[in-house]
Amino acid sequence: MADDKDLSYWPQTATGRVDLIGKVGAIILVIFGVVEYFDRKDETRVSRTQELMKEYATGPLRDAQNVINSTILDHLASIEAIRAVQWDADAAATAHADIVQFLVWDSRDADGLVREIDDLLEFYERVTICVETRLCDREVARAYFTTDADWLFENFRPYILQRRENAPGFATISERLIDI
Amino acid sequence: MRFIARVLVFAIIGTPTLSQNMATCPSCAQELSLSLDEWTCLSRNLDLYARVSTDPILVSLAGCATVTEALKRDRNNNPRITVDPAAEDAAARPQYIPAFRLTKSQISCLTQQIEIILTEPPDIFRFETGCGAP
Repeated sequence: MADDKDLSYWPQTATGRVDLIGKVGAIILVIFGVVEYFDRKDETRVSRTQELMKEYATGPLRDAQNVINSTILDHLASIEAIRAVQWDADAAATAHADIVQFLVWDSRDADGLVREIDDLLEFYERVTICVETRLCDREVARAYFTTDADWLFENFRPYILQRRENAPGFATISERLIDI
Repeated sequence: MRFIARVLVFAIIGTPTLSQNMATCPSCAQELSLSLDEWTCLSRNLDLYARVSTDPILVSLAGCATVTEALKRDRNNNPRITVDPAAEDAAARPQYIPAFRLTKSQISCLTQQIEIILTEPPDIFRFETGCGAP
């Protein structure tokens, strides 16, 4: 009696059984399709992020990073000498702004580093938008770009603040990359 | 003979004078007014500044003694340029005097003149006249 109850869902006729198997098969196919869809979407996200990583590690953006680093290293002795002094908060801020002023506007035969910094900021903005619209992978972007973006903002903040005096929105999207 | 003349003309035309260099660096110092200690400090680092590959050069007399020490530090890929304030602000802390900018020509001028300058530090050292340029 109990056995009859347990199998009550099982169709008694052959047509019913075929129908049930068909429905179960359809459900499995749908689940498989959804999983596959999200897998593909994740893959596309990661590969799109990888394209950005490649762009960042080669060509003009790599050159920009190299120029910024080599210019700082060129003047590292003076920078370190300034940093070594125990300044009070105001003097430390003035000293930092002075170093940034020199590097960004005066160094390299007055070419400075404006173009290089702006190129990187513009790129970080693209990465941020890509992640925020879920077209790029957040974890990969965070692991690869956040440290560099944080470094650029921390070191060149006086320049960024200076630009924001005229354009308040300057690099605000790029800055979100730090906490993405 | 004609070749030598050409070389001479090229050398004269092709070599930028100090005043030409100054024109390309409007932010560079045109004169220096330093104490003997500061001149001495600067003289210790002239070789260091001469080795900088870009132009102009950032010259700071702040923490003078530590400049050469800084070169011995490991240079990683992302050097920091932020200046951290001291943990506690104190009234006796030094005032920050902006670093000045000098062209490589000015550095090489100072290298040539430094012994004379240290013997008798001028009140004001003017690059236009101190380096023999008209």
